[in-house]
Amino acid sequence: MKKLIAAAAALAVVAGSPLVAQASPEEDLKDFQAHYMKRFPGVSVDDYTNGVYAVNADARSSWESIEDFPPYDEALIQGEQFFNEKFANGKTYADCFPNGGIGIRQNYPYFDSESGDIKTLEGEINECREANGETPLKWKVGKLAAISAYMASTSDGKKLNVEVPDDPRALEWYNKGKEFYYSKRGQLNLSCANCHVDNPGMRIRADTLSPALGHPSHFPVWRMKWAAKDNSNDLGGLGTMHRRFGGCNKQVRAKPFPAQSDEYKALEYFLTYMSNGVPVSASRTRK
Amino acid sequence: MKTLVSLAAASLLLTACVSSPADEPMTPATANDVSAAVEAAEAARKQAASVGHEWRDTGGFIDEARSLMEDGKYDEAMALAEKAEAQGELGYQQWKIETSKLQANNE
Repeated sequence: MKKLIAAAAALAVVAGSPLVAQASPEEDLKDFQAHYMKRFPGVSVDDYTNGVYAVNADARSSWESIEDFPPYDEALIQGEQFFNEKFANGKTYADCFPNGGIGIRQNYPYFDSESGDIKTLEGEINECREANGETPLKWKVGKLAAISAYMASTSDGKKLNVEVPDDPRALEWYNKGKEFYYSKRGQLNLSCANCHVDNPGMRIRADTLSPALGHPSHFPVWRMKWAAKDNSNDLGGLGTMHRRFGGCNKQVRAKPFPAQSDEYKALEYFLTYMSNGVPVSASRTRK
Repeated sequence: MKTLVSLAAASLLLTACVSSPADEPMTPATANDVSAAVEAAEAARKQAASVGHEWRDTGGFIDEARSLMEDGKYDEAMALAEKAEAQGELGYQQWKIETSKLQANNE
């Protein structure tokens, strides 16, 4: 307990986040990515899709061995089956999305000027169900995560391309997410940025902190921790980005927000915009 | 920065104090004392939650304090309720600090 608090205090003190003042999203993006280029010279923007394995050679070696026989293969196959299942009215998910839902993950989340809302891929999957008379799926895990993972897998290699349009409402969402990312919270008094901007590559007890750049490119993700917790079916290891946000908040001893809450939608919007240009590599394995 | 260090120090001190046997109440707590402490803790938790800075364990401490109170374990319930109240207050204070930092950055 004392060691954990001491580690948190040390992390909090070493704070040098690149985005401190009010700046435009474009300026933020430039500064954010430059921070990582400086911190990890030689690691390309593309490689940040590999998360912590972009900056830790030892961990990467074992991860690549795991990826030779991906534990998430069955989940993706099931995700494709769920995606193609017809609703009671005969329509499918493909009818709800541009390009039939194929190869579109890189454009999410986006600001919807009509509603003034942020649309996430998972949010639109459930909107599609409801529009077709089906009940919404449980957020974060299971069937919804599998459908999202399959759809994301059809974007593999496409670079994240989230826009903040010239609309004050979009900028408000962006700034809300940015504020969340840099605000310390929880009993450990740590912000997301304290770990993933200020200290990526550093150890926090037995783990290496991953860089924030590229984080949204590999969600939904297959985590061995989640798979160990739920081995009742082939989807147990899958989780959405909002599931992970909740886990991170709990780790700093803050009460997590619900999946698809405004807080997490804004956070996803900001964080994905910061990773523009990083290629999608959905459903890879993580620790 | 000084405020942040104070907050961290207060948090650490709180953890140490609450778990220290030397700090147990001088006189045994009564049901009324605990009930008031739980009420105060719940108010502090709600205030922190209203600004999105509720801490992870605060609600659980309050639930546990209520349960202990029902079992007649007033001293233990009192300690947990006080811990929860302090967490609620610190969470709210954390929000104020983060907000003022943000405002300073934007000026």
